[in-house]
Amino acid sequence: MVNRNASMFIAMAVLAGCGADPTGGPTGGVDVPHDGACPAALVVGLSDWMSTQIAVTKLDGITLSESLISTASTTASGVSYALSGDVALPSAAPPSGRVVLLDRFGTNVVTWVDPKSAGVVSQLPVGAGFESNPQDYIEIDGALAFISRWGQNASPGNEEHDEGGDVLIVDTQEPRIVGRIAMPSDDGLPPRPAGMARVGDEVVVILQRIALDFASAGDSVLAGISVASRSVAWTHTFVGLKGCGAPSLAPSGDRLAVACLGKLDADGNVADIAASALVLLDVTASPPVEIKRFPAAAIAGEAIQADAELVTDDLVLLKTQSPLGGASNNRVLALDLASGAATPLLEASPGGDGEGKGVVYGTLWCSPGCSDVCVMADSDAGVLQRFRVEGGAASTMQPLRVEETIGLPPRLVSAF
Amino acid sequence: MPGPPWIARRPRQRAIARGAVLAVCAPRRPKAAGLRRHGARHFYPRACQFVVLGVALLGPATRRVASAEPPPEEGKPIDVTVRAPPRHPSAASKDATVAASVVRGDELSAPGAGLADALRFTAGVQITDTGGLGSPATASIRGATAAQTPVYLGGVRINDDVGGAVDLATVPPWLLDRVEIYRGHAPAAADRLSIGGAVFLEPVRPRARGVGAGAMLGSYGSRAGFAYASLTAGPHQALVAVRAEAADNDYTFADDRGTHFNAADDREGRRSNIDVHVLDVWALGESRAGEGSLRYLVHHIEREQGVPKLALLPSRAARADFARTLAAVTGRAPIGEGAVVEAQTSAVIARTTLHDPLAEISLGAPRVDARGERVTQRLSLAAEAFGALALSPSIDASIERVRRTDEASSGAPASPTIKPLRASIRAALAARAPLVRPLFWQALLAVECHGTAAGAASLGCDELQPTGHAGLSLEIGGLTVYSSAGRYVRVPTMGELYGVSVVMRGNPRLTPERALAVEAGARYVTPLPGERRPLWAEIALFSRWESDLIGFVRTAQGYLLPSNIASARVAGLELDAGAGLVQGVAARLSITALDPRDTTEDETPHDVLPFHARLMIAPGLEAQWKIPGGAILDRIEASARFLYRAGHYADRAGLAVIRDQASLDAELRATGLHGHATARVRVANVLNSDRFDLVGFPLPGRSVFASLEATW
Repeated sequence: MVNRNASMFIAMAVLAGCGADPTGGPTGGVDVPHDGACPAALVVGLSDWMSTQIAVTKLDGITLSESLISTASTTASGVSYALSGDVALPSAAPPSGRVVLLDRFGTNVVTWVDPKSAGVVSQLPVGAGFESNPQDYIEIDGALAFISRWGQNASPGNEEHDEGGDVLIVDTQEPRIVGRIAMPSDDGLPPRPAGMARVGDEVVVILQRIALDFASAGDSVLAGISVASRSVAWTHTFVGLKGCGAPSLAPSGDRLAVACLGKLDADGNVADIAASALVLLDVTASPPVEIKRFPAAAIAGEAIQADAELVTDDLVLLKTQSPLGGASNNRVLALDLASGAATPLLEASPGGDGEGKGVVYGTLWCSPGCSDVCVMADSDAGVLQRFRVEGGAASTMQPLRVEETIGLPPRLVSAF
Repeated sequence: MPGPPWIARRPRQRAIARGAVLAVCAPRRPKAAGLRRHGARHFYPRACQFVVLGVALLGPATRRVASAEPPPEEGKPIDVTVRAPPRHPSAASKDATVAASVVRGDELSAPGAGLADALRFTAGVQITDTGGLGSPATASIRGATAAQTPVYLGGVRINDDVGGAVDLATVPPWLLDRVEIYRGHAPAAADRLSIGGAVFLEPVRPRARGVGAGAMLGSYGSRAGFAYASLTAGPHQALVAVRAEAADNDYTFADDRGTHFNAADDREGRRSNIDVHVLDVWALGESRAGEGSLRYLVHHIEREQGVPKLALLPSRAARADFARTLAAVTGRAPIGEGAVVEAQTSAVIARTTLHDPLAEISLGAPRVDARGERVTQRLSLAAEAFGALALSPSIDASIERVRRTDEASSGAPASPTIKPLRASIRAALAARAPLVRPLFWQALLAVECHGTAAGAASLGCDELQPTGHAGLSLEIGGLTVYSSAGRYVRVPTMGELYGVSVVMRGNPRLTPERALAVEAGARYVTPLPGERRPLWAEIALFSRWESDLIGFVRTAQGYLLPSNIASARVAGLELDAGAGLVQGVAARLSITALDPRDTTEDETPHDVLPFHARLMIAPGLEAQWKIPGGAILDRIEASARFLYRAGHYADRAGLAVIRDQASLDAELRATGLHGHATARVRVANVLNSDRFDLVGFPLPGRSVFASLEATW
């Protein structure tokens, strides 16, 4: 009997050991009070493009919860996962104080999470039967939010709101889609709305205008949406610039910075560096007026990524674009807008063969007026890089590792 | 009652082989002609099948005895007495000293079941398929990728040089005699000694004159019709067969809409744009001249299907056309005492066209057309030298071209995007000899040379790779103990080197994937008096260390770039066993325990490789009832297979887990009208359980398929 019991125990142990349990579960919520208009904490997205983990840190990057929610939060249904490997975060902190996740390609779902309980408050599919590829989320008031949908449906008409290339109007309480704002398109190119920013009574959205087959791209466009009329009030074309990213509003609210990458070829090289630049706009007027362009060739000697942070009215943190296997590595630069001088702050390490690892620097996030620390997701080193901004200059700080249980690299940063 | 005339004319031969006298296998009435399942294999009682196979594989000694007999008188019956140990059901014909599995017989002819379904229960094999009859499916053997496993149809490798993997659905199994799966070490007949063993799909051989036809109907719009004719003319036999198959595959699944935390919006989804239409044509021939023979094989398949994407967001208009024509001529002739030379010339032409008018599958073009052509010449010699030393040198040479054309979105004239060319040559020597009887040593050593170039560049020997394996085996009666160690490589496909599509980029700097593998196992078989199945078992332990594995790196713009970035160690245990239980009833069990580890140096502590279940258990039962003196019904057979697959990871970090699942398949076969008619009913997923393939495609629920086949 003893032998039989032992055999059964061994057999059960073998069977149990051959199963699969998630490596690490959620580590709970955080109770961080809001301080006026400042965000309460940072949201860090860690991902290897197969699975995703969302951590919460203080504004200076110190970890509060390693895993607020992750792919492991529920067992996969087989059809989908709790979170896919392609999750985006809003480029502006939601005033609602919720953590908002945009599950993009293949899933097309918006998820609202209560950071205190780490529980999912609600979810809303925004796919409408096609790859809508939601890119950005911005709350308009306590009940409504805009969601930009980059995807363009080549054969709409099967479901409500299935056209794509638009900004969805979403009731965040129920939640449900209450309408859409079609983005303008011309030259046969879909609008490809991407990053958004709130500027007074308007929401500005970047239209990247990339063809369905990615073979061609038009000049990027900045579109202004009137929050009141929920329609496009104006557009501004960045003539000669392509692949522009999320607008960054200065602490004063008077200036807007837009970084443009240019048109990437299939190998990750920027075909024409002249199409890559940083643009500074005066947004006290509507439509905004370009103040100055800083060509990428002049400030970096190579293309810049479409993601820049306007830390002060005169200081921008930006990153360079480097192709996988190329001769250069990602760098972080501090650009003095007054002088046009760019100061290198950080450079990624090359691969073992001395070649570039491609884009390894993720989102830059600053909380001007709330924290003097900017953070950047560094998937190369697997850390949050930190920069202190003092006296109109930026300097590097000790990087921080967000978590060590799962080991996913940080790629995205947002706040709530 | 006399059987059909082409059987009555078959001469009976007396062959005395080594081993114990097991049975006197008198010819029986065939149930049909022409096909494997209606041909020679059924000319004998089932209890003698393994004996007949054993005789066929005993080699020159048996043939010499047989040839010493006076030629049988045409039309005059003689008795057959065979002495041989029973053939182990999992011992493959090309190398009995390595771990292998053999799938044959009714497992390959179940209605509504493709090749992937037939292999699903095999030890060491895990299937990935998009779901539904005729849908694309690939096999992973011992944790290897499908591209690491060469698959041969009639001895001709059918892996393309674009993705490298073989879609099992492109070989409908109805005209296969058997499938031999070499789980670790491939035999000399494989022209590539790759990391994931090898799979040999062996078509039936035409045997006699006859015709047949049948039809199949089943769930989700599954339907098929087929016909064949087998002809003989003196020493020449030929078989021509055609089959048309289609399925809507519009089965339902639980659609959570991607909102895992909101069960209120869950609904019943239905798969769409997953229909498939297949046309499958075979021509097989064999001509004998003295002791030599020529065999011909032509196989053509066309498939048109929807490209479904993942179920959550189905595609609407993305379609795929596939066509492949394979032709091979194999000549075999004795050249002196104990030596046989074999030559095979083959050509494979394949084309895949993807249509993506709505840009749903990220091709980057509304149409991508990939064509490949390969011509291969193989020459081998099997000879005995220095007494007991068996030697088999061989040389394989092939030249292959791939062309990919992306149609411009504007409708501009298409132009070839890539046009690489590859020339390969391999020299191999297989040897086997007794060390101290009954202990044998065996070795297969090969040197592969591959030259690949794009455009007009000249071909050189870019990759010169030694491969092979060596080991010992011990054979005592029905017990075989074996062990082997080997080195293997997988040369990057031309698709990996030069790109598959705009999204799947190429990397000309790729180097071959490499692996060192060891395995040890034991195989035992003994007859069970009165039972139609022997008691048999095989257990195998293995470990494999892989380096320079090709993985895909995602670039900033979302493109995937192949790169030699990963390493892995896969170990495991496989058990395959079966026995006749009581009269006419037999049981079978296969267990696979896998420990696939990612040994790549990275920041992720979790090291279990994704998309591999670490435990699979597949028990099965079969029963046969013969109807004595039945005028209409001759025989009823029933079988059931259960498959349990443990939960597995779907990501490298160990956060995504696809739960464990189980399914039960059952089949009932009735043969009647003196073997001229066979009716089959198969119920797949009897328990109607939720099932998903390894990457998450929902698989059909309970499905019923029925077929009726008549032969004359």
